[in-house]
Amino acid sequence: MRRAPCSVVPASGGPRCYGSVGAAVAVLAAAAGMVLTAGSVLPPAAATASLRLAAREFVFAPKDAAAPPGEVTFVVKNEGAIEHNFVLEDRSKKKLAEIAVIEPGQVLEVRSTLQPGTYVIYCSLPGHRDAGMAGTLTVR
Amino acid sequence: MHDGELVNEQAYEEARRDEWIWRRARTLGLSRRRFLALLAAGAGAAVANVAPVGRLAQHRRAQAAPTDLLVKPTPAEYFYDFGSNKEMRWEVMATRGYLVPNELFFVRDHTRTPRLDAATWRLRVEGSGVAQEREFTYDEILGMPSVSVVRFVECAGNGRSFFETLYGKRAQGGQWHLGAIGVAEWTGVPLREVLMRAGLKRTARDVMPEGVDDLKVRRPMPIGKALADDTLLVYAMNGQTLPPDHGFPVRVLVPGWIGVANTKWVGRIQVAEEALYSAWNTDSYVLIGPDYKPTAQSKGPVLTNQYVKSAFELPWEGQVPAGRRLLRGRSWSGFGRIAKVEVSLDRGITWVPARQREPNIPQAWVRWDLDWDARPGPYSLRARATDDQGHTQPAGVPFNEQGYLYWAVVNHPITVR
Repeated sequence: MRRAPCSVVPASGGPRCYGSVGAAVAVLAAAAGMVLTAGSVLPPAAATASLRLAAREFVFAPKDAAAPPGEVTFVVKNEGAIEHNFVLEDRSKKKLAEIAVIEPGQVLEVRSTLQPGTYVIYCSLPGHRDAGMAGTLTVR
Repeated sequence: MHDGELVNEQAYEEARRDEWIWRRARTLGLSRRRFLALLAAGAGAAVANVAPVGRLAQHRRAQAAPTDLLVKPTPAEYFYDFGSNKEMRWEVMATRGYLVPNELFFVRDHTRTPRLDAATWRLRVEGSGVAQEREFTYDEILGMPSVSVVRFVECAGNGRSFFETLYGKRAQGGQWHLGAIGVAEWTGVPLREVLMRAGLKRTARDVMPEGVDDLKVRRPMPIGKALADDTLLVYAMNGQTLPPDHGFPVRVLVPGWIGVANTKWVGRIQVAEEALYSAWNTDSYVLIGPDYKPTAQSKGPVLTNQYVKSAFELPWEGQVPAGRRLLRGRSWSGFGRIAKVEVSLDRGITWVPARQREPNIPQAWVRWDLDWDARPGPYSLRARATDDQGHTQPAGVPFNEQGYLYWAVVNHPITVR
């Protein structure tokens, strides 16, 4: 295998990479102080929330997620067999966050500060969105 | 012997008989044992000459089982593994002929290989550019006049890893070296045959084949390219039924164009009087970067032709024994045939012409070689080809985010021991 296990260099505000889900969960639990699942009770607005998503052929799970206003860390694991990515857009189709490539098995994260509203999550690789890799994020 | 005696079998036999009698007379006095020993010495010398360097252990077939993504076995000694994509190791071609055997041919799947039944497969031709929608069965396709052509199929991103080598910045997508290419003999029906049977209109403008894979991969081409003699609906590859990973039951061959245009598992062909677009020529398979401007429909200039590239038939970062050898490689161009190949053994300071070996088929490749007295040490081998349209491989190409068309000269690291 020549594929690098973690090809994205951690950068401020950019995607970060973990070797495994276990590592991701451990780091998140320590750093974020909380881990949200879709539709969970909202914490105070000032806190940083984390939202875990699984990408696979050809869905995001959960398909519809919720998060509190403020900074949200999206932790995306590619549980599929082929390459995927992650894009977050607002309703005017303005791109707010992106993880350009997530290799199979990789866990990457990206942060975005969000106002209340509805957002779209999708994989922008050709055909993936049409095949079902899209979901909504409700911030409230 | 005269030249004529060497090509005419009857003349050759007569000349050989005469020669034998003459030699027999000359050798009277030599023992039979001595005569046979002389023959054996000649045969032994011929056998001793067959000792290719760096040959892959051909009998060491891997035990790697096919994954669910692909159908054919893709052992590690033939391929680099990129999940659903498999890159051919160039050293495997050192002991092969002009064509890449099906079991060695690289695979680029946007998703997984669909398992299709030719009996239920259909090809539908429809759209504003044809008079009536038509559907064809596999047997109907097989029953049409067919042609065979030798052409390459190459991923648009072949060579992508060298963007990181050159710029220190990784482009998106599989980090191929130069093995996302293969040349095969493709047999099939000219695409125009089915377009004509559907009543192709004179006003037809774009033709878009679409796969029946999970993503329905599709990409348009202009009507002129669709009507070309060698744009085919392919059902056989190198004399065998088209393998599943290469598009069974039927794929499209669009010579010279980037790989994605050669739609695998085609099930539908849209023919339109207006321009057609898909995500594969607006979002992807376009050039995005500081040196490229978006167009009205696409995020950057749309890719069509492959450019010029060269590769050595050597392992990447491998080792070869010291001594005199033939240094071999292949060069190709999406625009035509290769006119010139030069090689540098000293990191680009001096260049020497390589000998080209027939055949040199347009939009396939040419094999070439040169004598190399390999002395121990590290090398960065370079090959630079020029095609008959005047395109010469440059020293570098501008960065693009999705890492397409890296056609610059590549530095191939090798160690001689």
